[in-house]
Amino acid sequence: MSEIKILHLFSRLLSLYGEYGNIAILEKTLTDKGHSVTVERTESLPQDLSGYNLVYTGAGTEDDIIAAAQRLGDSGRDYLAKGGLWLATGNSVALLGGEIEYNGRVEKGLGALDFTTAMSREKRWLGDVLTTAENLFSTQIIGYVNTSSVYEGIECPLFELSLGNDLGNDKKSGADGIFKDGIIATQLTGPLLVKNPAVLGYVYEKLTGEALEIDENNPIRLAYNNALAQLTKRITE
Amino acid sequence: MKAIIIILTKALSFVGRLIGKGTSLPGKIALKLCPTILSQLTLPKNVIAVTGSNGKTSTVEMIAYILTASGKNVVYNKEGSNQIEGVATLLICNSNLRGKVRGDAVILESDERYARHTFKYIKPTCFAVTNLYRDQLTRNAHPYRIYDILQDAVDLVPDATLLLNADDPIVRGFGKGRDNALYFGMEQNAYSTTEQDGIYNDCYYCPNCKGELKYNFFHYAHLGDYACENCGYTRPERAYTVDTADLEEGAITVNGNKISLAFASRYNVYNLCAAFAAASIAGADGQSIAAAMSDFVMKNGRIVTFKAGDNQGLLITSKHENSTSYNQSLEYVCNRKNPCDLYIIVDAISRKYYTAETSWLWDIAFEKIAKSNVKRVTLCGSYANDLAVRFSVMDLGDAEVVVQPDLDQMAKQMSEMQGMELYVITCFSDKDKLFSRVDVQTPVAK
Repeated sequence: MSEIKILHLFSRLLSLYGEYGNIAILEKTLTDKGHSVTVERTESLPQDLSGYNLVYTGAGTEDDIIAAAQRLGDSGRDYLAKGGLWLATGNSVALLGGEIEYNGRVEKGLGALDFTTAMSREKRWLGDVLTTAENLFSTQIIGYVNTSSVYEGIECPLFELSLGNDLGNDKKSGADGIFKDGIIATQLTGPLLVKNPAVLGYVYEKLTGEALEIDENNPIRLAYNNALAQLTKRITE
Repeated sequence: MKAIIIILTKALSFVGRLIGKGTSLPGKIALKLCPTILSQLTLPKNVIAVTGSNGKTSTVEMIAYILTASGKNVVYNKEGSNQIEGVATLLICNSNLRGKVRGDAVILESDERYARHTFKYIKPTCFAVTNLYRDQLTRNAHPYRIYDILQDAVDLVPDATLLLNADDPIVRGFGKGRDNALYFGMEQNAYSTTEQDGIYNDCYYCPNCKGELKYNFFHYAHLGDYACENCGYTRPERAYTVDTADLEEGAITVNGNKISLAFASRYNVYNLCAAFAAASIAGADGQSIAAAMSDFVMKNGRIVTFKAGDNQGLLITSKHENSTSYNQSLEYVCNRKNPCDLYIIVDAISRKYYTAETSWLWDIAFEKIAKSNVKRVTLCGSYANDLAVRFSVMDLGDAEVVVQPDLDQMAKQMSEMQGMELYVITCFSDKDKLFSRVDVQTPVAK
């Protein structure tokens, strides 16, 4: 059995949409399967990330994303360059890229990838989404986008949106998030792993090397099946 | 033209009431015909507007009751239709043909997002902000976004007395640079805590500078006594304050005036203090306010009694997508002295369509059930399994968790329950699904 070390970065600063649920369900799943898990929660990026199997960041207000960017150092980029795994949900996608602009202020992200983010004070994009990522998941992924961020220059998206396809990275195409090397990033907010057994299984497998079996009667799967049916109905209606 | 629009609006409102339609349409048509009709009305001396995430309706109803009891003729939006169209219907229907609004005072419940539209035409003399919480995030995004939107409204009424919740660090921000801001709040009492007892705190960091915000004590959510060591942003002096609170006795004192509570909840105490303050500003004296508010029962009360079979039950109505509202209801149940059987119904978050936005379920402090007399929790409705996942990461001790999406089966289980007090927590939008399956006892406001 593995010993897994998870860093929930900015667990207070970036905690707008129940993001802790991702870590809670991951910790429970790993523990239930007999793995040893340590979760550390910090409000600044540690100088050495080499001991962590996963770094996670969630969504925050626009001011909080700027504040988080001010607390980034070089260790995040080094961690990713050495094959680290980083899961980002909501508008924390911005932290992985270059310049982040909001309300006349500009801060820099990690610079792990070459893209920019503009956050709007006036405009907001929100709605339910259904997505596919056929190379990664055999099922559709469900979620909700609630953002003021527009990203330019992302060349390796994670998802293709089938519902809410005007909510993509650039708000024109239906491409969402980032999938490159160890980065799994999506604009989908909140407890992504809680809603999607396939994403939970993917992260679990990356951490342990084992496939995750989730019973058909597990509430995670039942809740997913219900949400998928309801959102699919909205497309067909 | 003004008189014609007034006559038309009154006629439409009359017909609307006959056929049971909403209160917004007449005002919508009036605004369409004459966008400036509201600014052509002559308002009474006191125009009090109330906004905030939670407690708007309660606070408005309390102010109206107090002022009416003190002999004033009050106009207010009883139905809670709080966007500009609803406000237009209310004011036009209560004006004469020359556009003079009758009464001594107008009290407006104002939607947080629409106050900036209404205030272009209607200038309140007093603008009260109760709180800003996470509320309807599918619509509002987050409290700081609502703060920015409300700031536009605040800027439109520079002459209005701002009445702000001193204990809410976000709301307190509206008072920056205003010398006509007054504050209300609650002093430290037996229910205050030194550690925040919720799942999250929207003010871990200072709203003013993003430095760490230190609290001397919390009341609940992000409300309490705070100070930022970085920029000096602190809880301001309170002109109106809940000096003491004894929820066991069901009594508080506000500015030294004792008020007995019909519903002993510390959440409701803030609404009461805001109403006390607004009524004071409108000229009511403290003793009269206390007398009017003692044992006051809301017309649109959140508490409804019912029977499931032979079992007596109590519904505590809450707001979906609002974890503070749910925490309030949970606290009430978790403070019961006898064994409790609790049902949580989340069947439709939006009346219009299904949404996969369930993050608010993770913001509710269900963990407090573990230290209560709740012996069984039944998770009901189409989101029962979403709730079950949330509950799966908690240790609830001896409490049994049942997942029951089917509401008929839920009602059957309620009627078979024995030896426990029966409680239901659900939203205004889902409560009729309970009422159609049990015998409702309290008269229900529609």
